[in-house]
Amino acid sequence: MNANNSVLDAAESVFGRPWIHIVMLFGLAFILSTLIHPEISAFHARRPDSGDPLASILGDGRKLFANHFYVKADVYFHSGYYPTIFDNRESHQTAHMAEDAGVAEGKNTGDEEHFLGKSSDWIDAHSRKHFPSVHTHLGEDSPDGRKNAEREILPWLKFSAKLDPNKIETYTVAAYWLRRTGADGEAEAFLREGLRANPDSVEILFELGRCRYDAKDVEHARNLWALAWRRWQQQEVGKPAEQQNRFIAAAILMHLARLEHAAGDINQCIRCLETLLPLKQNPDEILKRIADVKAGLPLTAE
Amino acid sequence: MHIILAVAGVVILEMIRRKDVYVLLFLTALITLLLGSVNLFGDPNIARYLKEVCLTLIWISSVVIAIATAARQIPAEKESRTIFPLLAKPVTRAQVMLGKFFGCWTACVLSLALFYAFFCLVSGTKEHYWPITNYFQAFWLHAVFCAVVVAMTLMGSVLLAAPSSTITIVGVVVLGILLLGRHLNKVAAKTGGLAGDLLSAIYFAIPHLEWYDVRDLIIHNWPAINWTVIATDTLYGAAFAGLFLVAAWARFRRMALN
Amino acid sequence: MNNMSQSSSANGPQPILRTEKLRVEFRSREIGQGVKVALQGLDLAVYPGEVFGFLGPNGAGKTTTMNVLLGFANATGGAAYLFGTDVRQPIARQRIGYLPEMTYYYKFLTAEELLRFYARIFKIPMAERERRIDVVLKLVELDHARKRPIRTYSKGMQQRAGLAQALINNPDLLILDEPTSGLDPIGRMKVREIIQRLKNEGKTVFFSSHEMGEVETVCDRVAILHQGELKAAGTVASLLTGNETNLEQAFLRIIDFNLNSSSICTSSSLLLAS
Ligand SMILES: Nc1ncnc2c1ncn2[C@@H]1O[C@H](COP(=O)(O)OP(=O)(O)O)[C@@H](O)[C@H]1O
Ligand SMILES: [Mg+2]
Repeated sequence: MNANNSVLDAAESVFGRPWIHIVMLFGLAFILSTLIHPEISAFHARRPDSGDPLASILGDGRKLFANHFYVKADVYFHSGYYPTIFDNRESHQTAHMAEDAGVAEGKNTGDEEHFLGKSSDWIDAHSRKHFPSVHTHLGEDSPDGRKNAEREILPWLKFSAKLDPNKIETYTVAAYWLRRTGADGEAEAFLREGLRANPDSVEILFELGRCRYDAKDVEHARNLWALAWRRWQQQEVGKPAEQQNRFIAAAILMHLARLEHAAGDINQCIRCLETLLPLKQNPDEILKRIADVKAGLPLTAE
Repeated sequence: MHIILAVAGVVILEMIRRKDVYVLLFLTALITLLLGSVNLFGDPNIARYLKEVCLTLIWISSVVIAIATAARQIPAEKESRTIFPLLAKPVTRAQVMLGKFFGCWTACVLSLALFYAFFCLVSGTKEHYWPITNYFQAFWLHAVFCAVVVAMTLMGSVLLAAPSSTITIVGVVVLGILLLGRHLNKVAAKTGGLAGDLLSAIYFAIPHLEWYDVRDLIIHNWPAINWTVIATDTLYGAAFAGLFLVAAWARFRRMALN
Repeated sequence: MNNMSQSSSANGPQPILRTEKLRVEFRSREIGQGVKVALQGLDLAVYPGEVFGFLGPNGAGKTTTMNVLLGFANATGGAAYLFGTDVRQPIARQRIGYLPEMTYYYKFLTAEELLRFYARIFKIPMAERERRIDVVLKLVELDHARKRPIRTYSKGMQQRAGLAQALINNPDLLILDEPTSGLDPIGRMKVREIIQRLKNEGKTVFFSSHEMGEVETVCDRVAILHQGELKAAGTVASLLTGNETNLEQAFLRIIDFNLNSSSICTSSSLLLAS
């Protein structure tokens, strides 16, 4: 009886305060506001199903937030100029930070400069003076031109990875931008963290190979890329062609070819390029490279 | 004027003596500092996420403070019956209303000043960059926003029965405008028909509080806003605050006290 | 004070508080309830310097009368004047002090701050203000607690803080609504003492009460209100008839309270009959 009352009293004293209502309201609003930002590929169920419904609900909530933070990183990459669910989002279907990093294939169409369109009335026109409305990318042309400004996207990627450790792009994108701004060691460490959570990830193995290659550790780079290629074959060969992630396969083989070419193993290089041939939509380009290599010319980059 | 100032003074004293603002400031500082101490790839200069978190907490706190302070002013005067000795003095109800408005607003601006000082400190130490003009613009627009919200809440407090319903309804309206205000025209265009016209009418009728939220410009170090824009926003906000106050007064003037 | 009767002559002193055929009706919210008449044609006159007791049982209409005088409620008919000015004008309240029933003053203020607030409303200059606060706090015996928040006050102290705010502008007329209700005997005695002191200072005091004992000792004149009607008015002595020795007996007679014919008995006998 007494204990019951004191619990009720405590609840009363907390919930009787008017501002608690507003705090709760804001909590709700925050969750709602996360929905206004576009959700890119929200539910790639990579995680094995645990079978516990509560865990999976919580899990999906976490993934939703993880994805929100991932998108937020891209919002930061654009210094805040980003379409909401009410705007035309064709130009922002793939995160630009991932596209620029070469870890995702860009599928964006449409006008990324003026996705807001013409203002419809004076309220709309005036409103645009209160939020960023110029298309920029961090680093090159960010509004304040600060050094290493690209790193501002990293906190959100880190939080995203904490919430959903199985979201691969989080690691690869972060690693790319870390390396771009000279933090190679941090990049590799973060990728290894990702590899612990996703031991079979082709993308992470590939990125780790890039780290090692940049560090002039050719031996390790070759091993990692070769492992990535084996994993890709294990995971993707059985799938129908249009479902295969050929973008990453091409990247792996191209990098391997270049590595062998630089190491002077022309035969191995040509073997890589030939493996690549059937994966490409326009094989002419590859055929030309094979010819170049055979003729003793340098292997051009893509 | 001296009457308005006297009434406002009591509101400010009340806010200073209640713990709510300190609790919110403490929570904001705590969360900001906790997040600020996260090791992010060994780079201590990464700042924007922290600016965003801090500013978001400041916005939440300011809405909480504005609505919670304003919503209970007039009901509390009635409930404790202090409205009687007050109105028994040569005081008009318009003066009481204006005094309450200026009191709540000043209280909000004072606490905002505290919050923004903290924000400047956080962002300055992280970025080593002090765009004081931009920060002042954000602070001022935020203050104008608070004026509109306080006036709206005072109006709600004389129209609605209980402070809790005022808080909930004004809270929902303010949040709704902040989140959807600038998108309503697009939704209206997509909806079309009668519902579209209705949305469009709402779009033109509501106070566009989302203008006053220039967090994104501050977070990403965009250049300062043109001062004519700030002036327009100030006038627009003042007009809406005035409108709400007149409506509040019109109701309060005829309100039975017992 | 020799104005025993209410008929004010043209050359006698002008009443400081006056109502003429004051009528107040409340329209009931519930349908079919009709109107509730709280005051029916009340004529009152209070003259400078007197302590006037406004008596009546609960629900008689005392608070309603005061609400009209202070502009909180509008009269349905008749008129009311303070210092000869119609009460609907705010300026009529410049020289009055008012103590409402059961008020809980701003809890977070100290008595000193509370009085400073009310003093600022009257635009009393700073030096004068502080002096006035001292005087008033001494008068109501709260000087020792002036720096304590009101929330720590006892009920009696709160009531005296209320009296202090009513006195802050050094008013000529005090309107006190049941100043002693809800207080213990010591608290009541203190309030009575304060009223006595105010009378000695030459203030006019108009106060309501339903406690006869205290009224007898301080009032120059009383009026007895019952169900919105003025039943009697005059000095205490003038209201006593026959073998009545105190006001209470006179009061009960005047409001027709009779154990045998009281409404309670009537209704219970009706209940029995049905
Ligand atoms: N706002 C109101 N609405 C309806 N009836 C009221 C209202 N205020 C007072 N009354 C009625 O008027 C009568 C007089 O009340 P009041 O003046 O408060 O009596 P009292 O002499 O106890 O102060 C009562 O019967 C009361 O019920
Ligand atoms: Mg009463």
